[in-house]
Amino acid sequence: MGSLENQFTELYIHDSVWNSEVAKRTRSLLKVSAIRVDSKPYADQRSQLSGDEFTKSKKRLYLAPHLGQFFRKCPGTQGAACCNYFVLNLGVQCNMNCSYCYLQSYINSPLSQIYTNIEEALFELEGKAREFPNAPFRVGTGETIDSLSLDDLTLYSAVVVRWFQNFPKLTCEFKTKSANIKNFINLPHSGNVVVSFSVNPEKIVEAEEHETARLWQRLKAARDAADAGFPVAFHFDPMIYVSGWQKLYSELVHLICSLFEPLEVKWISVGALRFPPQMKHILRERFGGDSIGNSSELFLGKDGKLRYDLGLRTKMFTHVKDEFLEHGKKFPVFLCMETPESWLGTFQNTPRKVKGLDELFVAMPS
Amino acid sequence: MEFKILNSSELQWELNFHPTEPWPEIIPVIACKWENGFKVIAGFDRMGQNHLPTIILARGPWITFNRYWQEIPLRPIERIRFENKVGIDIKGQHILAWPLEFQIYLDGRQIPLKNLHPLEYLQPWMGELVPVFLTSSFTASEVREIIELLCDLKLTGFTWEQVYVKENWLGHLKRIRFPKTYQADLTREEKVQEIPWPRGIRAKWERQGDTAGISIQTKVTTPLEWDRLRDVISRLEIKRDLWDL
Repeated sequence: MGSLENQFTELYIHDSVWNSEVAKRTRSLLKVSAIRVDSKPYADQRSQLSGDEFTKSKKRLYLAPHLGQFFRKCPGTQGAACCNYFVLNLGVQCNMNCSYCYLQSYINSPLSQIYTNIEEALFELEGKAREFPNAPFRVGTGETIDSLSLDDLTLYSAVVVRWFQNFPKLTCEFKTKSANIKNFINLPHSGNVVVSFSVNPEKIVEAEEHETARLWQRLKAARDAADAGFPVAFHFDPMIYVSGWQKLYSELVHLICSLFEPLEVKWISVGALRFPPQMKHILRERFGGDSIGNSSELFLGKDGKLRYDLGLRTKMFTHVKDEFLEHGKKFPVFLCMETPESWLGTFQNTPRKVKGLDELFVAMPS
Repeated sequence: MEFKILNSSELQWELNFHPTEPWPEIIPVIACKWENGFKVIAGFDRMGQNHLPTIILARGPWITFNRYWQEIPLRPIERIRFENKVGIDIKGQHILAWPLEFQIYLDGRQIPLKNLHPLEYLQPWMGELVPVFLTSSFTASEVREIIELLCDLKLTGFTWEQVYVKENWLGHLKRIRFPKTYQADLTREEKVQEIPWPRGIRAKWERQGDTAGISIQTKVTTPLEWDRLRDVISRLEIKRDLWDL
C-alpha cells in the first residue's frame, strides 16, 4: 500500500465540521491543502461514473456529515440465501483499487467521502439495539468503504470497539484488505468485534488487488488481532478462476489452518467473482484487455449478475470447504450471496440446515 | 413569420442531424432568419431539392431548433446526433463515428445505448463489421450479444480473420470467447446423446446463462404412456460425472 499522506490530491472539508477531530487529524496527516466548502464540491452523477471519473474519485476526499440513514440491511442479491447481515456505512469509496470491486458499478459520486458524524451513526444503531434487545445483530462497517484502510485519518475503529463494549449482544465486523489494526488492537474489548480479512492467493492479490496489503501482511494482522483476543474472520471472496486455482486455494487454506484454531475464527465466507454486466464497460476503460471481465468466462445469472458457470462455482466452493475439512478443523464456512442450488451442490443442504451456520441464517428484524 | 419558395442552395443545412422519421410532406421546411441567410431547423430530408415551400421564423435558430426537437421523442442514437448539434456534452458521442446507415440500423433495433459502449473499441473493425450487419438479419438481442463478444475478443488480441465466419457467426464467437465452457458443454451434450432415452423423448444439454443441464422434452397423451415413461426413466442410469466439468 502507498503512504497515506499522498493518497489524495484534493481534500474538501465541509464548513460545519472544519474543526472536528477527524478534520483536524486529516489536515495534519495529508500533504494536500484542505479546501473549506459549504456544499459538496462535485455533484453526484445521474448515471454510472466513467472509468476516468471513478479513478479520479479515489483521489478526492470530502469530509462532511452524512444526512441519510447509516444502518440498514445488507442488500444481498436476488434469489440468494440471506445471512442476515447489517451494514453501518461510515463513508463511500475505497482508497485501494481491486480490479473486480463492485463499487465501480455502484458509486455515482465523483469523490471519496468520510462521514464525520459517527456519533449519529452509533446513536442510530443504539436505537435499533434498544428496540430489539434480544436480536443479535451482526453489523459490518466495510460495505461501501474499507473498515480500516483510512482508520489513521478517522480513528473510528477505536470509537466502535469502545461502543460495542456496551452492547455485548451485538457483533461488529471490521472488513478490510489492509493490515491496519494498530488503532484498536490494544484496547479493552468485549470480544464482539470481529476483525475480518478478505483473502486470496498471493498471485491473485498481486494481479487484481492493487494497492492493498499483501496476503502475508493481512494474515499477520489477523494473527495479532487473534492474539489480542479479537475474533477473526476470513472472506474467500471473490474466488477467482485462474490456471492452477485448486493448488493456490489449497495453499491458502493450509496457511490459515496452520495459523489459526477454529475457536479463534468466527466465520469464513466463500463467494465467487460476480458483477453486474454494466460494470464491464468501466472495467474495460480502467483495465483494458487485461480486465478480469474480458479474461473470465462469465454468464448472466438469475440475479442479473455475471457469474461463473454454476457447476464451476460449486466445484470451487466445495474445494475450499473440503480443504478445511481435510485439515481436521471445523471452521464455520458459508457461502456469500449464493443461490440455493450452490448451497445444495456444496453442502448438500440449505444454509439453515447446516450445523453451525443455522444461527447466521435465522431471520432478523429490519 | 414569412412564407417563401426557395431552392436548397438558398438555405443553410448545417443543423441537419438526420432525423429518422421523414418530415411530413404537407408541412413546409422550417427555417430561421440568420445573418444574411436562412438556417433550416426542420425538414432536413428535403435537402438538395428545389422550389421548397419554406416557413421563415424571425427567431434565433439554435434556440428554436433546440426547443422544437427537445419535445420530439427521438431514438437513442438519433438523440445523440441532435444533442451533438446543439453542443450538449453527452456520453456516447463515439457512436457518431460510425456510418449513419449503421446508426439507423441500431436505432431500428432499439438497442439501448448502454449496450453500445463496446463499439468504442470496435472502431478499427468498422469497415468489416458494418457491411456484415447491414446485410444480415440479426435480431436485436443477437446484435447486442455479437457486439459484446466482439469487444471482449478484440481487447484480448483476436484479429478480424479469427473472429469472423459466415455461417453460425454467433456460435463461433461464443466458442472462442468461452472455450472452456463451450468445450465442456459440447462433451456433455455428446454424453447426453449416448444415454438410451426412451422413444418419444428429446433430450439435450442446454445452457441458460450461468446454469446448464439436461433439458428433456416429451409429450404424454395417456396415463398408460405416463406410467411406462416413468418406469423407463427410473431405470435410466446417468453417471454423476456428467455434471462435473
